[in-house]
Amino acid sequence: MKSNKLTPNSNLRWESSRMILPEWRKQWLQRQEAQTWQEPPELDDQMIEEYMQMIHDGMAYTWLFDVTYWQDGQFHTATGYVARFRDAPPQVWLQVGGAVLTIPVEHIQAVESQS
Amino acid sequence: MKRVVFLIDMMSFYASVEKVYHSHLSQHPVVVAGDPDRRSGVILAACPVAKSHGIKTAQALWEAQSLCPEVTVLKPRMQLYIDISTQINELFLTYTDQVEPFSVDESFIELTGTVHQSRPEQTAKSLQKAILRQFGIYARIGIGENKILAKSACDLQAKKRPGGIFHLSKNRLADDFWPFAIGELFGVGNRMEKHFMQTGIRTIGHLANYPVEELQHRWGINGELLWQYANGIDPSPVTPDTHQQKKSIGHGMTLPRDYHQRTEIFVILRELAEEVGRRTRDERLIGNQLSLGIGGTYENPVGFSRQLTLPMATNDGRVIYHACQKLFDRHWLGTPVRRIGVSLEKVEPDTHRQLSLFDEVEDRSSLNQTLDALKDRYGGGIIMYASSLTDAGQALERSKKIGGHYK
Repeated sequence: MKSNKLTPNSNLRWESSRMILPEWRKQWLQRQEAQTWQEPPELDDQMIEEYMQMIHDGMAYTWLFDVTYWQDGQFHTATGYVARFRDAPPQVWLQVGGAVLTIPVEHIQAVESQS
Repeated sequence: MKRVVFLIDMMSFYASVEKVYHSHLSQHPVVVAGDPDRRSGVILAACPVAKSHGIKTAQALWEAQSLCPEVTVLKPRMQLYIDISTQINELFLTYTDQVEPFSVDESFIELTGTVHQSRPEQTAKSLQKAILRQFGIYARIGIGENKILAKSACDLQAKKRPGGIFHLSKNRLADDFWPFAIGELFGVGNRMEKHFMQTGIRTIGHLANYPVEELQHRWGINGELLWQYANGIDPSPVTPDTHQQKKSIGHGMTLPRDYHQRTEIFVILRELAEEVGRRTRDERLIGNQLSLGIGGTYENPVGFSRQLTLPMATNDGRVIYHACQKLFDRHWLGTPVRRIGVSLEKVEPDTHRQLSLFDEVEDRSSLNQTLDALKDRYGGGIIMYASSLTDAGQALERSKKIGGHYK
């Protein structure tokens, strides 16, 4: 059902009456983004090698993985099967539902097998 | 435990900022006004000294100057006000993460669940001092257990009291809220005020005690909403991410003179369409419903507002422009035009696109990306259609402004 100004927990009653300049909004969102910006992960070589070994093994047996990765200043976790591993540049192609997520190896924070 | 919500309002915000930058004017009447040579020559903000001479916001500049000939008139610096406004909101984030900016000079903050919840008045004083110390701006703070009580506490009480802070409790509505005239209730405009007066509702208290069913029957959702406000009922949350969601992207302008020729109006339509396209791309969105609003002149206020569904969602200014042309030609009666607004609605993330099986659609994304990069780096005036350099064009002038006022 379409929400209206009386819908519980909706903020529509205030959103419909406010005046915000687009330039103000853009700057506020940029500042908010900058405040929550996180640096990319810095994994040591041994940890990366361990994760890559796990991914290679998992590809053979179509294991389901939880991959935590960094993108645009934020960490995300996606669950899927590894569809492909590319060497140059090193990338993991994770099949998540009907889509393929391309994750650079240097942006991987953690890999966990669900299998 | 009851919620604790603040509505923090910066007094005469633009004028206060200017007084900080022109400290020698601290005791003088100061107003910030639009370009005096144009229709926008109205008062955007007046300092308390200017207000004591009878000057009001939105008054014509000539009127203000006749009330107070010694008033100092300053041009607005919108980018500066935006910078300071966002910095003030960052200060609020040191008190709570629940910050919802409501306008450039007003914000809601929720202190429920923070260490400040048990002593709201002391927190308000500390916040007021911090804003004054860090930015030189005096803030008024309304406190309530929800947003409407906080907003009403600020507008009806805190702004009129020496300390600039007021706590409107729900059990004191009859004394602190209901005696005010109905026109002072948030959300009641001139037309609604007239309707209420005709119904015998002259104060907020009269509305609060009026049968809600009758209000619903007569004014629908809005009738019930205003009844809720009058009774201090507002379940809406303070919503920090409220600015992240976008339902439509629009751009409009009041023209500096009446436009009579179709070709002249098309120059403006193209400029607005390009700006809407740029803003939509900036948000990484596309939209498939176009809305065009045309406003007439003061003497001949004939206009229209019409919508058109596009065959495919877009964020390309040229596609938007062609749709605007189509809508305009279909509905324009040849009367002079003074205001034009274009908006793209039903927007969604630009992650996928429908392909046309029948028409070849020109991919202008690289061209648009290049134009956007140029404008982001050098400003909106760096590149534009040649038509914008004709007498009808406004893009160059607009590129020097924010919200219709000088940057």
